[in-house]
Amino acid sequence: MARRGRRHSREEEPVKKKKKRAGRRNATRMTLSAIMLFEGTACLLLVLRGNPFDWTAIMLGLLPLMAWVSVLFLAKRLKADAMLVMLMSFLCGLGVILLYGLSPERGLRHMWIVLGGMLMFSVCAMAIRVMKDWRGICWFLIVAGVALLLLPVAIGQETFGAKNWIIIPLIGSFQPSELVKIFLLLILAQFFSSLRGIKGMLPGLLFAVACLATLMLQKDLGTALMYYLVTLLMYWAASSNLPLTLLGGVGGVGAAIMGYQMFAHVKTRVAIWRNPWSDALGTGYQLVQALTAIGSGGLFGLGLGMGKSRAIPAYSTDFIFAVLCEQLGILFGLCVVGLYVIIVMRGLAISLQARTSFHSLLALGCSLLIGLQTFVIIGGVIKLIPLTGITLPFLSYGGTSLVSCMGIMGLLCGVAAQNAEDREADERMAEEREALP
Amino acid sequence: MNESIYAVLAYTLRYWFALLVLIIVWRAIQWIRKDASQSQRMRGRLLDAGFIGEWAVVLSQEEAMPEGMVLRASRDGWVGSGRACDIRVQSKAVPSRVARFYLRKDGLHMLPRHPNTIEVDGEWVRREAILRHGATLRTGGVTLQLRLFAGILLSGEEPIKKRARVRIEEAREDQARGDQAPAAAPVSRVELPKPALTVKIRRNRGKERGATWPQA
Repeated sequence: MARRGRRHSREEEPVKKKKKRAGRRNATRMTLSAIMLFEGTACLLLVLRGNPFDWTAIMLGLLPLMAWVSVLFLAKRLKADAMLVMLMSFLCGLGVILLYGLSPERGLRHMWIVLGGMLMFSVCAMAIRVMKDWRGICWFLIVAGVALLLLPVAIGQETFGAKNWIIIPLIGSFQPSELVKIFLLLILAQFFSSLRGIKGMLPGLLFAVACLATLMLQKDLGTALMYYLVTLLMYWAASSNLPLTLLGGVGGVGAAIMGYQMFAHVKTRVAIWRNPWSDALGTGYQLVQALTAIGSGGLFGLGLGMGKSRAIPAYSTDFIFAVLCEQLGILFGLCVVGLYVIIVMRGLAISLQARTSFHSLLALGCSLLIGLQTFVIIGGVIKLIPLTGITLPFLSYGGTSLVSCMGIMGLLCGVAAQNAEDREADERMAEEREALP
Repeated sequence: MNESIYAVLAYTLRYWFALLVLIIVWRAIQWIRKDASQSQRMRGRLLDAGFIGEWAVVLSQEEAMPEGMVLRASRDGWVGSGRACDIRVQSKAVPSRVARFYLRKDGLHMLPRHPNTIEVDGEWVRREAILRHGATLRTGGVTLQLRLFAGILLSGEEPIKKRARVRIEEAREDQARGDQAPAAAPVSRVELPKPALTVKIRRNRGKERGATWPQA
């Protein structure tokens, strides 16, 4: 029995590669131009803010250059998804600009951390393309992940009720749970794509449970929530086992109720979510200030560097979205939310186009993590859901968080690059078959 | 710069920033739409992209799966009667998930969930079977035959283009050598390889036997 060739549609369109490439170049150029214009104008404005001028702000002129280099190098050389790279560099640049307006020192530090994040992005993107078998490395990541999470319990510092930071001399503070997110995604993708059903998934599930237990010990409930939701949704996608997934969901609800009973600050957060004005100068102060800032900004904002954003506690970390809405407006804020939605949708499309279960689950996990984290923190800031202490990806000040988010984007772009390679292989095979006599 | 002048400047430029971010969002949405349509065109042009072949129903006792029906073969997945299965065998006698399969260089590995629930080339499979082009899989009252695409190269096979080139050159040489003899018709059609026999590896605890070839 002879093997047949691949089928093609009867109305075959000739591949207009040149036209396709020209169209793609125009889309890239226009979007990149808009991003570079935004960053350049913002930099100029911040320079003019000083008395007479703030010459340090000229360093922010590196931002348009970084955006250009990220497209030229990261997108082209690593074959990373150009749109994701551009949106990521825009959000990072926006974060630097907002932080500089609040505190020049933090803004500049955030900019240097973005460079470190680009390195992490490159490493993660290349790792996905180079390494074909992750099984061995995942066992190492399990041990390393648990060890890293236990470090703050042993030698960490307590900050805002959670013991999840480690101080490293000469480097600064480091939050292991942010880095372990990348490990979690790789481990869950590897074991959930196992060929042995639930037995093969057990190591991944046990690792997730160990992480959750350690995070509860640290009282880092926001990160625990992220870990839990990503594990649950990835399990459902991998197994299609709705009863077990619902059981996991019920377990999560039970844990949330237990957390409410056990932790006093959880009760406080639920109370201020219901009515922050009941204690506007006490426990509800942060949320009241954030809501007032968002409202006072109106549709177009008060202007870059204007307003009283510093009155909001944790303005540079958890409440950066309130700062954004106050200075640049609710319309700008909605557009930023729209960009996050686009990033998640793009990630889901990459996941659907992946050829192996591992890559598909990995891309799904990356998209879910970024999407859920964005939803939870913005939802908390606008009083949609109770507040949790996590950062807004790419915008919030926080070295480990920024590097980790860029690493997650690197994983996603690595899968996208692999998809592009597979598509090229398909086209090549089709052309070879057509060329046969 | 004077604070009040800066305030006016910042107040004016907020519209510019809003315009730029709207352009970025709009371009991103356009990009997604263009990629989606390109992806759809590619799927229309390469109908079998992402698949390794097809499963053809060669024998069937089920009305829902008539003989000649063709199912697409993915690289990995599940065989069973469940809706979520990649190869859905619509038979009440077949469990929701009966076997897991995945493609490797030596062939398509088929691992039944429970022993002796599937037959490959007429023999019950206890632990694992490796299928190549032309192998048959029987479960419930349905027999499926695996037909791999020409571009899927398993170990021990040569690329088709190379084989075709070799055969064309051989035909030309034959023609040049035998001028008096009636010229052999040039090869106008590429002959694809005949289906290889299915190889089963029976794994025992701690020991791995060599491959056994079923009787033809």
